[in-house]
Amino acid sequence: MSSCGNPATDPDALMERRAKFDKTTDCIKCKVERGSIVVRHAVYCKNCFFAVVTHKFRRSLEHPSDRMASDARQAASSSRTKSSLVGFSGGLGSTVLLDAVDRFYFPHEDLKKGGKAHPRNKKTSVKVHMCYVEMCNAFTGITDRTSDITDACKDYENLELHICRLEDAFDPNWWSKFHPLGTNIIPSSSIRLDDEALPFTQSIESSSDPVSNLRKYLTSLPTPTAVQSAIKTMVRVILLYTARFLRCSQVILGTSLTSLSINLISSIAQGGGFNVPEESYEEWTASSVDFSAQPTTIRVIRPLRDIGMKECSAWAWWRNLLIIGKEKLPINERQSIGGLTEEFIIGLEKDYPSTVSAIARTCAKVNPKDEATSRCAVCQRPHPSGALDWKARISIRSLSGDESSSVTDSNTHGDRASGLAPDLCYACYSHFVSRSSKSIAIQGDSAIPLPTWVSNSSSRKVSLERLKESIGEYLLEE
Amino acid sequence: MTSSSSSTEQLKINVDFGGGLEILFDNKRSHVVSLPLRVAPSSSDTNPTDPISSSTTESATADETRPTDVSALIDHLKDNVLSDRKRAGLFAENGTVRPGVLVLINDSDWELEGEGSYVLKDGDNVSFISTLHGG
Repeated sequence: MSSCGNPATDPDALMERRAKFDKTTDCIKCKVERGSIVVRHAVYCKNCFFAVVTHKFRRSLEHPSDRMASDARQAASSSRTKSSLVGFSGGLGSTVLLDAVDRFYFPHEDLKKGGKAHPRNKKTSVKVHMCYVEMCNAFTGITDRTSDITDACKDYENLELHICRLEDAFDPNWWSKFHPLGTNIIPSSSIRLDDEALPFTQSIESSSDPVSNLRKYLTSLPTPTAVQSAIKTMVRVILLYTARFLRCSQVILGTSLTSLSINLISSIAQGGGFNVPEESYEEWTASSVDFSAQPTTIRVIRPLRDIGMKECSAWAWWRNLLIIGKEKLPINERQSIGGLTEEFIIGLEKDYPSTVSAIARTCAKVNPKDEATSRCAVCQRPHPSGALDWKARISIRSLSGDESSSVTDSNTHGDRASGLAPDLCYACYSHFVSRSSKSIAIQGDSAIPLPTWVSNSSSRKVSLERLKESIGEYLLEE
Repeated sequence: MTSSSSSTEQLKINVDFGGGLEILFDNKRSHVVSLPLRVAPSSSDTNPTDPISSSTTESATADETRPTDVSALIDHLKDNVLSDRKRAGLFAENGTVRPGVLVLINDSDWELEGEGSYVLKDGDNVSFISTLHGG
């Protein structure tokens, strides 16, 4: 590579490839051993690498309030007394996460330091669960990998595996366990995409096959970006509800620093700028469901958020962990914002790893200006009011004279009242109303089923009294 | 060492694949690869699109070889060992490994060894580990 400068006068004009480490090939921590890995220009030997990564993991696992604890013992103890659900996909990040969580909660003999009484060295009495969401039924031709996942998790005897399926998002039987009144009255909801108000209907009739509902939902979404985002949202919400059911107070995800940077850029590009803080840490409360006996809020933490993919990969290799890998879904990633962002960030990380780290660190300082007024009915994340007005101001959604179906016109409050649009965040709304050749093809199509939790979250949900009325004749008197 | 003996002498390199990359190589994690001590210069050494470099090196390229390095190993793996040719781009592109593939030379990051220009020695262990298998 060369620049236009004169190499005779400017030595940097040739732009020769520089070494990717700062000074020597010796470890910068112990300064004795020869380095084994370069992490963002810093060289570490194998022993110091594990110590540094473990320290970053523990620090990220702690709640901000834990860090206020006066001593490290209190902080370590506090983090380890919370019942947890670990999200496991079989991918690199979650495989490393499982290994690190197992070592943190159930310290092995070789890791014990700080004396017998140190809280870090006591086995926790708290239950730690792991949950895998199988998505083979989302599309045809995808292999069911539940047996591979079960085999891979056998090594973690202290952790209990739960297997969910993506179609559970549409399965009233699955959702009945979260509902106080049983399966029969869980309403199913649907929307129409041919109207930008997203007309919303609910019924309490028993819905059709969850797999066909899932496929209809995914195939109706207008863009690959929307499909990819919908799958990601469904997996996250299924994990949250599973954690709720298992009475866990925290969900632990294997999002690495690289994945976090990808998620942040991708989310902002899709209109999710309001939820930048939620990409690294969020607190979620289930709505309208009787969980009085269970914890009210679940926190979602990503303890690998300071650890890049390269470090995860080296950890997995040196710890001899088996990576099953994530199933490749038939989504054209080169046409999706998520896929293009991933390709860009991973290419950037090869030569400029610190820039990828800077993305996450910069976003950690960003907070939305407006207050959240409610939660999005689909993604369950906080959103401010006025997303539709904002969309009306920044985009032209219809040609002049063809405004009858435009929800973004500020005079169409009547349409809004019957539609799901006001209950959605800007990003989810944009996913539903994106224009593409496919969205034109589905104009006039029948109603599209929505995940079951949308019924509970929508402000137009069927009231409990109305539900009781409709099944009243079947209820026994007390 | 005579020139005739050096041309027949081979390097034995132990190659490992991990992180899911083994799927592209017949689902085998470990391979032993034989390479000559010296190989022909790579296309990047004599850039055909650069008129100056191509004209100055034209007469010399016939006898010029370079010691076998990791770049040559990557080319060899791509051309001769890779079984899933449709997805070759997941392993190598533009004469090096694809971004997101970690390379260890004798259990040490290849960035400490000079990356593709590291000259291979008989019995070296080279590991290619994909980091692209999601979260």
